[in-house]
Amino acid sequence: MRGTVSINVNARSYTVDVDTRATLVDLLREQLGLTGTHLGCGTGNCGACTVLLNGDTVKACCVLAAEVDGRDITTIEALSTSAENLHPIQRAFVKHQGLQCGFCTPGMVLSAVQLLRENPEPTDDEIRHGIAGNLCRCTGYQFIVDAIRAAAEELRRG
Amino acid sequence: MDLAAVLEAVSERPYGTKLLAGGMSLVPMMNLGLARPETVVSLSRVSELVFVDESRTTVGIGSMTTHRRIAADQILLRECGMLSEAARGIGDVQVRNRGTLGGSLAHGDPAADYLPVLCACRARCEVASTRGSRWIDADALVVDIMQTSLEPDEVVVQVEVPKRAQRTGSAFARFVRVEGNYAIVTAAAVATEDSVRVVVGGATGTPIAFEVQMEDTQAAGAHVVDELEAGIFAAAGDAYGDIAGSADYRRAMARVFCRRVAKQALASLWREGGTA
Repeated sequence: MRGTVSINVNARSYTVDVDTRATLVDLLREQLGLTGTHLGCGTGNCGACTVLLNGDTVKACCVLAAEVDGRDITTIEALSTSAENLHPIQRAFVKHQGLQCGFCTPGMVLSAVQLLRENPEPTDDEIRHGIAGNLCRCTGYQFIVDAIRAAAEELRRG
Repeated sequence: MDLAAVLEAVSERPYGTKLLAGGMSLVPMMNLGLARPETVVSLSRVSELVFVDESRTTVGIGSMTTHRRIAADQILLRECGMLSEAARGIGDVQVRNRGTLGGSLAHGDPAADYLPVLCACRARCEVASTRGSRWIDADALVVDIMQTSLEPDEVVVQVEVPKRAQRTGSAFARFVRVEGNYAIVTAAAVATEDSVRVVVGGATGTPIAFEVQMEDTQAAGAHVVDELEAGIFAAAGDAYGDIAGSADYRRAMARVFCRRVAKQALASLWREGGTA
């Protein structure tokens, strides 16, 4: 079965014909070509497909495309326009080597966006809880925690 | 879409239809091919199922209320703090943003975080179909592993938690190897001046409860905890085993966590003057 959804992705409106079995990550990657959102496990564990749905993080592999009609989605593509113009959180990930292979990074960064919006001055423990839904198999997490702590400081300085 | 339209849609083909709440369990199961429903009816637009309302004696929580809201809701923090505590430990940030109370209950996982809490504080669930609505006591909701007492055409509408009528101490604990994973056992206790009730989930197919009543729980001291532990251990005789732990291990953990929450609930009742 197919249906039409109208969505706002990164402040741009789309009307898309979707398979009702498709998930939001399928819609973003396959139909809109927004491949910054990664598909890892497909079972809601790894968090690589994390996007903001009406401002809050969700795992896009666990949301049906048909359910997002009329909603606002923000993907990693919205955070910066070029490598020279990165979001402060992205800059901190680069500076503190908060990534190695990069597969988890879009989801990690978006989880950090939600965390720092709600808690601009998190403790290390709160940072770890904030990224608990995002798995990284390279860094051992410490550099990611360092990056988010540094990004929080920079964002507070404004 | 409103609830009436959902009930109508489900009633047309109750056996082939699966209700989709937050999708945190159902969508992964569909992605893995473990669930292959003919029809999926989503509740995500049914805004009338999102609420936390209090009356004089109860708090009603709409079934589509997210874990995120339950974790931080001021009414619940005041009236049933351990439900908020249970919500804070579910999954991770993304799961709590999307997952719902009703979805968790209807899924029927015996180790679900809310269930022992709701059983311990004697909550009940309103379920509805085109045939009308009825109330199910929380301890009668999950009848075995992934099996509930819901009829195929019934939808969880709300959970009603009684406000505490007297001085109460409560405690919740979940035992898990990695934070955010499914719990091995969950336990909740409610202590009053003359009774202590402990409910343990996850050890057996359906939550096990044991209650001790006496004239004065403070005077009874450690004896109350021993009696509860023995009661829960006896009730956990048909514990199940899986990859996370054998049946014997689960039964042993039921005993350990029963003891832990009972002591905490009594401590909060007598030392700190009671908690929600």
